Amino acid sequence: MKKFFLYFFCLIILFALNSVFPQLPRGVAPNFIFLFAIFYALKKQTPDFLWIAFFGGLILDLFSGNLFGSYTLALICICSLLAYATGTFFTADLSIEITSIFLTLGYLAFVILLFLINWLGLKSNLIGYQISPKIFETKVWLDLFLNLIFAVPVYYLTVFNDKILAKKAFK
Amino acid sequence: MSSKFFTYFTVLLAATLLLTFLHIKGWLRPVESSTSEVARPFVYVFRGAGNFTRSFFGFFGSVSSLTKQSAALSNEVRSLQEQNVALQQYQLENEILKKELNYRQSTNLDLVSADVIAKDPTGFSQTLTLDIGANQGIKEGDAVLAQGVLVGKIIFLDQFTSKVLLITDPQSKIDAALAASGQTGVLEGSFGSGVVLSDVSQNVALNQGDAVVTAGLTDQIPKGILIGTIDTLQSKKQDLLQTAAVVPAVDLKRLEFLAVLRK
Repeated sequence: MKKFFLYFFCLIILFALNSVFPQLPRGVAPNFIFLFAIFYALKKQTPDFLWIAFFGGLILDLFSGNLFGSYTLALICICSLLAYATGTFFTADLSIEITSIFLTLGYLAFVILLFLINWLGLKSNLIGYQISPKIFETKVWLDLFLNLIFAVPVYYLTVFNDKILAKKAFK
Repeated sequence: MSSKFFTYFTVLLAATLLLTFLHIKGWLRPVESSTSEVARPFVYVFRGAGNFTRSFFGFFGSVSSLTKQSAALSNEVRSLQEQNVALQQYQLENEILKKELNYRQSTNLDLVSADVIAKDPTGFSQTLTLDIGANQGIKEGDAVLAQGVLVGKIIFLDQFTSKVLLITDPQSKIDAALAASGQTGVLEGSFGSGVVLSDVSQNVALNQGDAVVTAGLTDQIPKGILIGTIDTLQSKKQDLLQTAAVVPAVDLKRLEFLAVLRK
């Protein structure tokens, strides 16, 4: 139970960091919650990443103007897909290069899925607003660049969490 | 992959779809409102931290430009800015509130004050969350103003909170007009970099600094609310219609206190 509090606390902090991140041109922003969930998905240890993706997605859904549940659904699907791919094709720990490739592909798939879910939501009259396709012109690519930079501190946050959870006093 | 994983995956996927269904039906709104309410004190703390971050980066930006002019002057400015960062934040907040109050006193429009409690953290949509909702009598489509300047419209609301689509979002389209000639056009957002006035007849002269106001073609956004000024002409002479970049009259990146126009 304690570990879920720790994950939830991390998600709140990461969401806060995302909220106070300086606003850059073209709405470019890193997605700390996405990175956090992805790293747990790539660790191949437990299905904890599913809970992280679920609650992380819900936080994003609550404060975004998109179809409610779209972030959660996209995050759960992409994390599961990456966990399945790494669990099936890689037995050893992932190298930095492979992790970067997974992060890049994962983010692109996440954005495409998010866009499709919102597009379907608009077509089904569930929402009156949809993410603009213009995000694919520049925003997504610049987001990717920022995500790869901020992946390092977020990765160390997951390592730090693992160390805390490994302590007997915490169990 | 273990069966535990597939069980969790199915359960969480079902939970997400259920939550989406409940949200669409509106049955989740009390929970969403409560969550926003709980988050509000944290938002103020984070906003303080955000202001500090902005000041911090703004501070470096200003030092960089001043260095080009005079190294000595930049050092002086830097030390002064370091000392006054907190003071400037209070002053800025005070000025925004003063302008908002002045506008409120000088207009007959029925405005409801609102505080920005969150912005879309991912940047996929240019949206803000306000601390007022249907309980204050506002409706979807209502205009949102900052110091008398149109900044967006309400796209979604529940009992206690509402979401604003900013005019800078590419999905935002608002009927606008040139204040001087009354010639109408469509104001569209362009990601983060401002707004564009399109579909303006070639017979009208578009000059830098011309005021752009709302056209009042819809019921919810009345005529004559300032949006911004014409910056540069983007279309060519041979184009059928003119397009020009518009500079919003307020800084849309620093919105904290807004007013919703109640109809």
